[in-house]
Amino acid sequence: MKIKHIFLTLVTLVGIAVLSSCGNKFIRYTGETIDKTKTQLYIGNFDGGLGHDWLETVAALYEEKNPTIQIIINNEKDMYSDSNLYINMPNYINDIYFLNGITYSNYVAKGLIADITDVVKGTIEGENESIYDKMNPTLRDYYETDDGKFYAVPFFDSIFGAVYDVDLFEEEGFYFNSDGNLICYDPNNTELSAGPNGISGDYDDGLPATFSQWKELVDTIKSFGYTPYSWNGTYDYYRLRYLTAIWADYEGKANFDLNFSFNGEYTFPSDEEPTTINIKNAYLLQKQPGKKYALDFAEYIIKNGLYDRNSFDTVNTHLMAQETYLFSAVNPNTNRIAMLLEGGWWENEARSFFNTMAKTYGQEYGFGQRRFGFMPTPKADDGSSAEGTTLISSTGNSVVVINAKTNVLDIAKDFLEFAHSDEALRIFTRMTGSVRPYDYEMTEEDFAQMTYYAKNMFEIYHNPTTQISYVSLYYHKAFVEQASFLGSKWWWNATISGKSLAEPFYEFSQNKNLTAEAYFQGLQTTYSKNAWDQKMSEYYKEVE
Amino acid sequence: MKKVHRNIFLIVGFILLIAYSISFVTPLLWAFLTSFKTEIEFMLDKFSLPKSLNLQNYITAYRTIRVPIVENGVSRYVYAEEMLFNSVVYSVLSTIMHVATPCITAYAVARYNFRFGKLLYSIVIITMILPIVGNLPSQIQVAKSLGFYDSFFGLAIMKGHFLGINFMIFYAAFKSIPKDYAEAADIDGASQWKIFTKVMLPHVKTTISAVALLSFITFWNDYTTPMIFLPSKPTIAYGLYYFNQTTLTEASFLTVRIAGSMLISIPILLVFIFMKDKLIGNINVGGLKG
Amino acid sequence: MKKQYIDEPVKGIKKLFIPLIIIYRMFLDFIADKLYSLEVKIHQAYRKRFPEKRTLIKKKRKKELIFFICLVAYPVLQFLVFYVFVNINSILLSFKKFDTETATYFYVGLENFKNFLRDITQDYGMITAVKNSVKLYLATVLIALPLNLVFSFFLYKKVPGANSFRTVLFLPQIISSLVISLMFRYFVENALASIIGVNLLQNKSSGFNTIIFFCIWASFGTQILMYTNAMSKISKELVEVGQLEGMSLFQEFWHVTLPSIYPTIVVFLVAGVASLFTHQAGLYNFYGPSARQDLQTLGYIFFVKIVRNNDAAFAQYPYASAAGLLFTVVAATITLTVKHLLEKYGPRED
Repeated sequence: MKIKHIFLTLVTLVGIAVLSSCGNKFIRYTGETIDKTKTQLYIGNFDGGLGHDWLETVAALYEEKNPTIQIIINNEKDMYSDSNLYINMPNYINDIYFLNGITYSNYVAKGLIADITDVVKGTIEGENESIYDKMNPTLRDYYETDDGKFYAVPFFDSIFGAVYDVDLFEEEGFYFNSDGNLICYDPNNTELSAGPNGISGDYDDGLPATFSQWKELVDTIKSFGYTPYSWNGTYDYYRLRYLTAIWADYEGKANFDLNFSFNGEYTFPSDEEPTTINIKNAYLLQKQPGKKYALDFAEYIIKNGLYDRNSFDTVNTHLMAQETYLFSAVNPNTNRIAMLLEGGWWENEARSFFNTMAKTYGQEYGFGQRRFGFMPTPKADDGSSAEGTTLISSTGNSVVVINAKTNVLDIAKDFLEFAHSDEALRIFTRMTGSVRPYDYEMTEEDFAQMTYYAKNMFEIYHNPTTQISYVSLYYHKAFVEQASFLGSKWWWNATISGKSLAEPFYEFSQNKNLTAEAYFQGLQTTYSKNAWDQKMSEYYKEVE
Repeated sequence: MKKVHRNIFLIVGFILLIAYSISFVTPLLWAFLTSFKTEIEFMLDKFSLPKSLNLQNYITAYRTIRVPIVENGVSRYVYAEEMLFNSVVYSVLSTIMHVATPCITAYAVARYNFRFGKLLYSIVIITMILPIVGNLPSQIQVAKSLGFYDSFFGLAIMKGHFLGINFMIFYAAFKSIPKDYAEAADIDGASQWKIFTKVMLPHVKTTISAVALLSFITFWNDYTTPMIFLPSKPTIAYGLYYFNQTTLTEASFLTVRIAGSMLISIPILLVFIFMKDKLIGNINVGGLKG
Repeated sequence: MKKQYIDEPVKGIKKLFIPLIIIYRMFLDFIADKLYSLEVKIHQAYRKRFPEKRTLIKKKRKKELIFFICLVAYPVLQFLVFYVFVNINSILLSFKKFDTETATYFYVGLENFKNFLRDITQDYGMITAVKNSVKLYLATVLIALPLNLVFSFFLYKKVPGANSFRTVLFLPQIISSLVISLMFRYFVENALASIIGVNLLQNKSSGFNTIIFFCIWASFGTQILMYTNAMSKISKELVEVGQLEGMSLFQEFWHVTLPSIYPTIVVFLVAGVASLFTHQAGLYNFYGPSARQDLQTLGYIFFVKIVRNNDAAFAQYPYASAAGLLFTVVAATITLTVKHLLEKYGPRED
């Protein structure tokens, strides 16, 4: 009896399951209903830190101007990741995509994305410039193919680095005055110093200008009972990017960019004459002193315990790190955190938690009420850092592309053009606080709607001393073809006594005897001449 | 004196077992309580009790537990209820095959005295003793070429083998039935099929139900096999794995992730709570050969 | 006579479901009756066509053979395809290489074996994995097995609350290992770390030891059931004789219980050798495909290499098969040795 019971129960279960599955009851319809009198344009939006409100606003404007078109936006994250999209793009309905973290050359090679040269080079309706004219020159050179074609245009720029709590810094006097003292120790002189770029009256006034000033600052922050640094533990590339930002600022854009172009001249500190860098000797770049400079920061932060204790907890995601940072201002059980390592999009990403805090702790904790700023890299004490400010953007590989299989190519191109009109660009910056790498101006009215942090970022981006390096662009094809050798390893992978070390902050925290110098030597061990020859010799004929 | 020794021994055992039980229950209990906390409560104190029975984390988790798939050239999300359905189909079909095949084979080998049966028995023993490692790529290839890939029935057939411990359990169970039963039925003129189903199977029904329940739970909790062999039919166990690896902002806070895990554990915990005695009791009855 | 559908006393909340239970049981009976009458009909039709003759032994034997073949036909076919053919294919695969452009495999000879032997002797990650796997295997044999035996013995001797403990010890088999792993990870990395100030999983010095602890901690269940079951079958007289001779409980465990369940222990020891190469140590549950290098085991490395459904994974199939073939040879050797030694030097049942 029993077996029969069990067997029949199982069969009944399957039967019920099969019956109930008829008619696609499982699909949850969340999107808009399709208006059959109109032509549909489907947009795939990578729903990361920028969110999708800006795109909805732009789409609504476009629909207003073109009443016969209905725009349907699909907001996804996992589906539009590079690895997933590359395989599944032919199966997706979207005509146009706003993406992040894409190796776009792969898509061109596979014929997945459409040629958009005409719309990029044609004048934008109602304006007298083309998208081409407005585009950031570095990115323009990158996205223009050898025969002058465009398959993608850059999407947005996000400067990566340390975010600091302006309210806290003002309250406690953590700025340097014109005498070079911290205001908290020398409160009589409140005139701010000129900051690392040496120009008074701009965004970096009062921030540490040299490595020793920086050390003084972070030590002071700690002695006042605050935690200087915090970052998330889940994604270790946040830490690597911070180091890369320090390294890039030290070297300056031209010298730093050699690390992905493998083409140019570089003078090593031990040499008098410049060395010509090409694919055959690019491993020498691991000796760039900027790397050692960045490692000094990491070593100092870790060995002096200047970081939040959750920072190496892999459960501590980017969102949790952001919320912990914000909440530390009121949390009686933990120290307030002064700085967070994040990308420019973070404030928008944490928007809902600002609102949660405002509900419990009052409006002054709401979105846009608290002030945050970007802390540029201090210069080396011996003056060996490059002139000006070099910042890194990790989103050079964020792109807008059109699906090659779209049925409404003209509408898609028209929308792409509209999305790059001054009006749409301003909407983007106003609503997300991030910048698009195009030439456009914001009005006073726009600024009034932006947060302190967003205005700060916009100012830095357009400061005359600022130069942007794009760390995620692969100029040389070896980056794609030899991904396991040159991929993420290329930046910070060290080999010390046969062990492979991937991330300096973590390694310093694990091994008290490890020094920045040893790690720096370890970088050169990973990329020895031997190892380089083994993997790269197939590209040598390019320069022979 | 002996009594004292005995008691000390038992007390030591009791303490050891209590220690283990506490260590096992603590993380689960902590997680259960945490799943009701708001983000602020959690950041204030990781160990406090939740202030209220706040189900927001569960609602968020239910909305965001989803896996993107591609099916017939169309991409879409699979949500919790469809994953639940997939789990039921996968576990039930696989359980039937995984229990019936060794049961039938064991009966054939145990009851009939053919040389081929002895060969099958040796095969089971040899494959149990000599492990084969690393043939997963080959399995995937063969499944793909036979059309068994991404199919519930295909996977159930792959799971329907007679090798392994289940065969041994059933073999021992059938061998332990006295021969007279079958012979009496034989003389009565019952067909072979009837002897098998009406006479022999009822004797091993407790074994069957125990093995089947254990298999069912194993299949229900297994996410790697569906992940590999059923790419467009994610099960709830795989959904949970995916949920805890996702970069989705809504699901990036620990309390939501824990709530998702709790939510997904509910069905199997219900099964366990209602069938606890039956399950553990039956496994005792249907254990290995002594 | 009317059939009784509810014959056991029904208590509590279950009463509400009586109508449902009755309908359900009627339904089951109905199906069963239909199946039975169908079977009878077929049988009668068969008898009509082939009227029964005087049974000869040979004829009966033939009938049995046909039935036997019917029973084993599917299992044997399944075995031929999914065991014999899969493994032959696996061996062939280990001599091939994947061509990404055409998405096909072609023969390259011993290249995969050479690459694998180079990696396992030189590659830092692979050497770490070998060390970790051996450590984990030794821990399962030297720590987990004794713990299992001791716990089983306590349950067998009925410590106070034995039944509740039995349930708790069986929980790791019921709750999904994924849920247990995740809750363990969240607890250790987030909650415990905030009390003791050390993140045991993230610390390099304690990371793999924590993993080993986890593997033992979450592995109770089936083995305990098997051992208690085996212990309960030890003859009462043997135990009583021992007690008369004044054996302490520990002596009883050592001299009576262990030798009696030795065959069961051997089964688990012998079957466990393969775990040396296949045990993932729960790492995929913890970290998905991106576990830290110093935590990885061989089982994890080779699982991650091939688990994705893309060209990069297809390209790893031959390498993984080659490694699997060599592992199989090693595992088989170790297994046979272990089996031989256990049988030679183990206690004999007199």
